[in-house]
Amino acid sequence: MILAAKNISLSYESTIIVPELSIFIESGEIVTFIGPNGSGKSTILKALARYLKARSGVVYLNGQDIQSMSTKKVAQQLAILPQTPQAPADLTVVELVSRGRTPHLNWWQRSGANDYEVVRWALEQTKTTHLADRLVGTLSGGERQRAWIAMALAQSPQVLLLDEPTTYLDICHQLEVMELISRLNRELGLTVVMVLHDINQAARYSHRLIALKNGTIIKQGPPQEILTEELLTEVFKVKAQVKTDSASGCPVCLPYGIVE
Amino acid sequence: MRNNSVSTFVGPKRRRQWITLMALAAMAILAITASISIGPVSIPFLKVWELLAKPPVQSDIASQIVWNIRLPRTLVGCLVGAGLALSGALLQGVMRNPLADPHIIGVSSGAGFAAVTAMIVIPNFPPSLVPAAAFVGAMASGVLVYALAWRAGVSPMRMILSGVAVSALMNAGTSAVLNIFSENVQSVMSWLAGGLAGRGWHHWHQLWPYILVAGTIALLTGRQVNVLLLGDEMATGLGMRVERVRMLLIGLACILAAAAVSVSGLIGFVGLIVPHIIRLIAGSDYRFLLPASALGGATLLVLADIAARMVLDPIELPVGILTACLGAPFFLYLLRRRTTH
Ligand SMILES: Nc1ncnc2c1ncn2[C@@H]1O[C@H](COP(=O)(O)OP(=O)(O)OP(=O)(O)O)[C@@H](O)[C@H]1O
Ligand SMILES: [Mg+2]
Repeated sequence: MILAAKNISLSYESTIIVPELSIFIESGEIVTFIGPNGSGKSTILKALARYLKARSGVVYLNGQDIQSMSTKKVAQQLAILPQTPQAPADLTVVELVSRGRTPHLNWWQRSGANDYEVVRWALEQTKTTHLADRLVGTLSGGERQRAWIAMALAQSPQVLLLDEPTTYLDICHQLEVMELISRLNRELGLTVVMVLHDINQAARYSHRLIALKNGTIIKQGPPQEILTEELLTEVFKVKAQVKTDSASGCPVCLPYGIVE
Repeated sequence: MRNNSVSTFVGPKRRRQWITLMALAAMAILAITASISIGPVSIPFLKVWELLAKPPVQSDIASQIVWNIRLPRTLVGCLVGAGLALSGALLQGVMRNPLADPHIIGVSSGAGFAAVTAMIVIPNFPPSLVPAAAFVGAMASGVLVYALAWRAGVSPMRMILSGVAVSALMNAGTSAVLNIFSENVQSVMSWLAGGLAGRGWHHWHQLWPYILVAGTIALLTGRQVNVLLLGDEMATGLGMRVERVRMLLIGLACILAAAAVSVSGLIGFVGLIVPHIIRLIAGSDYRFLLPASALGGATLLVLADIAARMVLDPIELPVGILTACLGAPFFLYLLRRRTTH
């Protein structure tokens, strides 16, 4: 178990968003949260990345309480890409990706050959080498998303948390990002925990889905097992047909109406 | 070979940064020389360095002027300018807001209120202690703004808003004191306008320890500010203790600005404009922006002081007026040039 949340409850100020929740993530898994807007997906991701401190309960990273670890130590093992990251207008892609090396450097250290090597590798993995000296602000949505993923990769994490990595992307770029994540998972054993709104993509690329509503887990398990018409009705209030894609063996859902 | 391919992307920008730094350093040296050279008794540039190369000579008037009047005044100007510009650069980074400057965090108005109160309300307040009073007022005001903005952490927006509120309060206090005790307002007004007239070695001695310590630490925080610019969540994700770093940076900015205005009076615009100009010329990488702002601030203030002495000679203008007159048009020019690209 690489990442685990035990009985965490989460809130902003006094509004409780997640009453009580336990999640266990195995090393090498791709786990995806699905659920309606405001169901607490981003909130949970923030808690797993120790940005939001749980009111009660503990998050463990490699068996250690994440709040008791030095934040730098956490950053060497876990990277998070928030839903809407921001960057200064005149930052180039290679500079952005280099920022990913921060947790591996002490404040007096300059980037060394090894850091450049990792940055080069991260650019290559995300097919952004040719964009290296472009300004982040001038990239298309898809290119920008890949640049941010490259930054997270440059952190050399074991666990990658992604909040809606495919939002704003066209269908081709969406698939590109999903393929990239899946390849990193296969080739490097990278553990991925993400939030997706496209249920078919979630089903296609995840080992496990966690369906959330109002901060509570409704159901979790492999897509083939849990993705049913009843689940979609319960979580999203939609009527949908669920079929099996003969090519991949993955479930696909076709929504056709709203439950009143 | 291959990892070079990454560092070459950084190449042109790096080069531009180094050239800018060199140019700024050269300009600073020129400005300092000019400031020592120009005055009622004009001393040629070469002669300036000749006199500075050896210890002061009692019998030589020029040597006395250089060592006892113009050098300390110029050096104080350098430190004040560097302190204000560094402070502004740090605040713009921490607040992620290009309009942040030492006034925003209440430092200047706090210094003004404390100094005015000390000078006017307390009878026989020794003038040599005015900077100390101003420094205390500035720091107290900065701490107050920080405390008011605190709510399980300080968000940049709350900090700016509470800064505006505290500044307004302090300025109102200053006006009240000036109105109630309207007899000896003249000396106070000139302090409020800010200037370097009559600044000498004892001001230098009050100033340099703060600027040296806080300035040195500030120059080492470039990478931290760079990371902070990616947002709190990202910075945390990259292993930064955001709240602590933010407090350190605001504290440094506060000390730098407080030390500067305590000696010079209220000089505006340098903290706002210098980091902007540097950013427009060579980008917002803080590892470079901080030292460049320090050099730029020192240069701008020394140049402004020369102008303040010359424009209406023999009357001296408050240098704060000149920083605005020199800074604003140049700033607008850069802005226009940038946006037409
Ligand atoms: N900083 C915040 N302060 C107060 N409430 C917040 C904050 N961030 C989120 N919330 C609230 O918490 C709830 C869960 O938000 P969260 O961002 O986790 O939802 P989500 O599942 O990620 O939704 P989406 O699919 O729209 O991204 C929402 O009701 C939201 O209004
Ligand atoms: Mg969200």
